Amino acid sequence: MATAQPASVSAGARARTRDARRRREKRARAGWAMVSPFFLVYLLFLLWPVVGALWSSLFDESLGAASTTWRGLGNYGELLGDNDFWTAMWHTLLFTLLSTPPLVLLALGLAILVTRALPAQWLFRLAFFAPYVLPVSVVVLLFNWMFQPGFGLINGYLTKLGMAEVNWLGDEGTAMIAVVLLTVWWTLGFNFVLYIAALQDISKELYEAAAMDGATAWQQVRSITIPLLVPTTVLVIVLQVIASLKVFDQIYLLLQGGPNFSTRPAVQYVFESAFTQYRVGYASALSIVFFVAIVLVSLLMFAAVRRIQRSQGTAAPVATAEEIR
Amino acid sequence: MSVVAGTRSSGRTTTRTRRRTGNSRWTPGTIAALVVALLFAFVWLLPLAWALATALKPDAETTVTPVSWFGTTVTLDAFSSGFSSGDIWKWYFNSALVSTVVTLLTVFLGSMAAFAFSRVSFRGREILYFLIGAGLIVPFQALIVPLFEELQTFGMVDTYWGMILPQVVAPIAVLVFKRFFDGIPKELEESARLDGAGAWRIYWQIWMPLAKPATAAVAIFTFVTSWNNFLWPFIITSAGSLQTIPVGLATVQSFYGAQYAQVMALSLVGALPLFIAFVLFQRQIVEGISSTGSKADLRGARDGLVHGGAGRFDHLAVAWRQPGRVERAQRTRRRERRRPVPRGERGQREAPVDPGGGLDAAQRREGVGAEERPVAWIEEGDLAGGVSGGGVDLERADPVAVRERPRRPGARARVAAAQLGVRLSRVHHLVLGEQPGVARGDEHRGVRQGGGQRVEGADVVAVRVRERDPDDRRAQLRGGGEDLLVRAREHRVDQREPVVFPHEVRVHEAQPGQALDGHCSNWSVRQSRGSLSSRQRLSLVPCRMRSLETWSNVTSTTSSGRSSTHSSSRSLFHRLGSPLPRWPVS
Repeated sequence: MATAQPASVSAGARARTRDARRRREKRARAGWAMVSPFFLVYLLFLLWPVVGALWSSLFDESLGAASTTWRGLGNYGELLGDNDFWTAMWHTLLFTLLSTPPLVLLALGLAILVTRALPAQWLFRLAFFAPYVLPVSVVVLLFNWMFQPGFGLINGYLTKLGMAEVNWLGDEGTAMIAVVLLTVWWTLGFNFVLYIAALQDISKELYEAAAMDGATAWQQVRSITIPLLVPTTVLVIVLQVIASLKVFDQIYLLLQGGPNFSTRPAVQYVFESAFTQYRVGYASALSIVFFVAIVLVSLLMFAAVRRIQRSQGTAAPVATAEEIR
Repeated sequence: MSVVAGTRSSGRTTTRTRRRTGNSRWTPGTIAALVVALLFAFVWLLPLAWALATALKPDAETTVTPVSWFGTTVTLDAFSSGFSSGDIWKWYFNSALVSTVVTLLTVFLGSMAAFAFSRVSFRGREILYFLIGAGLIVPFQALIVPLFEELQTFGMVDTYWGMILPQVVAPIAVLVFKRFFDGIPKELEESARLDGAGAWRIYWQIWMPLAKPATAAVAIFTFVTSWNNFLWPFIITSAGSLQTIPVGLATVQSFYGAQYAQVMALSLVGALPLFIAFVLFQRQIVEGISSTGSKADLRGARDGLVHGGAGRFDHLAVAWRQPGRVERAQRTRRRERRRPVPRGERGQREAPVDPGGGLDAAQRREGVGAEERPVAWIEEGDLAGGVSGGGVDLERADPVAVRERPRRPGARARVAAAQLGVRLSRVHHLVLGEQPGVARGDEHRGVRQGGGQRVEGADVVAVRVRERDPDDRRAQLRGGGEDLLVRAREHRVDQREPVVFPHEVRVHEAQPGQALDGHCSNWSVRQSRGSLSSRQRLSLVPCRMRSLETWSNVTSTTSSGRSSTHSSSRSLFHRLGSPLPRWPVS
């Protein structure tokens, strides 16, 4: 843009450039003014807490107490040997491993079924997505009621079918399953609508062409739908894993981490260290480790996604949706 | 039904298709799918139904075995005692207050910041945007302890502000707005800028009205998330008077114990507001949540890091099917997609394209392969003169050549064949879905004179084949080409009319100067909503009457004498009836 000015510039031109510069500066100031409200809130309530956690993880600090003592990396040393914490981390991971496959596969299957020329699509969207707008406490109350032994709905039907009752919430082996069932019911709708949106983007002509060629419905799903849904599936998996790793609400409300701490997730362990044992310094160190773990998993997944996308870009097995449109 | 290229149409395939679609509605497969889907839907509605059944029973009958769905009587006692306790109204109020304030603040602060990131160049923009984008991966759950400590020192524990402010930090809002703003061509605000409007006025009077779809998505997403947020209100409030619905309901079980009718009634009542809103605004809520929620990843941060913004057009947070609005920016060509793209504004790594002679790069066909030309899509629901649809693509003249890469035979080859119908670029005709003329300002212009002549010389014509057409239906114009165009000039083309494509070579090659004014704007298609059937949306219109981004190779010489070739983007915004200059004035 900037070209060398000729030696003799008229006063008017000079005034014009000065004007332009002034306008640019004014605009830049406006830019700062517009960003700063959000950035201020962001700084105070997101960046600063991260720094604050790093800082207080170096102290032996207690909630409400005035005195803090320097502990260096002592908190981190302690948590390395803290079996309870690593068990809690394992519970979080276990929950992720158990909840992700059904949440992704079931959503995919149902979305394909529903878009497969069924009438009353709104009914299905209502049925599957409505639970997603319920507050977690409502979901927990409903499922707590259904999981009750004896008069609970699930056990009631199990006994009617002649099977043994399951002590869903009291048994260490089934408690996590109960949480996963609840979560699948509650959050499936989100993945479901992501898939529905992706499916609606697939051009009808593709199916018509395939039908002309005599492809059966199953062949169409296998050769057109599934390959075209790969990008969506990748996105859904990434979002689901990250969401599952942050699990706290439903486990805490349904089981308080029990029975016998067999479901206590990492977030709850952090929460308890801070708010029932009042060990803020230690809880901060735990937060940092949890934070780093999540960021690492996210970054790894994004790297994997990019790799998948790139390999798709060079040798797409099937044209992507964008290409077809 | 599908499109068959005239020269290749074969009776056999159409017959087969007809037989298939003739009874496709209720094949055994469809019925099986329906049964399975209904089964799942039933299971999904079961918990809510069971809660309702429980709440309607007298309390003593809730815990009977064996399980039964109905008590001896139906009673609303549980509901009335739930409402009369008073707590629920307090929770409603707190939830409504907190979510409303959070939503308003998020929308305003987020859109303002996004506008500055997208449209105002200032020092430090990239680093700030990167910081905010990086916030996407920070799990809130890891911040509860330090946040609580911080708010304690501010004295905000057990206050509304303590509940609200940490929820306002939503990088996702900035991201969604920024992507939306990036997708709208800058030219829109140019006239306002020339009039001396400042950044604030441009933001408030030009961009925010345009950003309604993004605003709706962000607002819905934020409201629902905030309404249902359990963790933060739970931690920051201890006083019962500040409890929101999720926090309040969490205490219900311990309060009522085994009075399950009450518990269920209260939880249903607690779920009610959002549930009703959801039933009423199902589509909007689903779209708002899914479109915003699905963007919570790292891409924003990467955008900020690589190139202050203009890059990825393939993921815009723009709602579909919003008539008369910029829906999507030009999709970049494949090899440019997901690559860092130099941006003109800040840094000035390159000079802007010289608009030589009032034409844009695409019109001069710079950097555009000889076999490519801009093609605009028209879709159902596009409005007259509106800027809408799937954007403008630079298409290859012969997509089949690209598409027929060696692949498995079968479905793939058919796909290519179908695409042939879609893209038929050799087709020398075009039907203007409905094109009596285009209002331009106050003028009303007819279709360009002589449009009829160009109907001759078609070697392929796309013809829709319908169920009752003969198998060997020939590619012909119903009522003859002249006739059709004459009719098109006066009325709308009937939905069931075959679609013809007029030749558009002249748009670009005859007299571009003229084309730009006399021709191009005329060619824009006037449609009323829904006048095109989905079959007809294949119509191609040979001119860029929509927002257009083109990439072109530009060789520029910097002031230091170094010359470099790079790709550069230039957007054109052109909207009939808009007060803005339609084409850059040289």
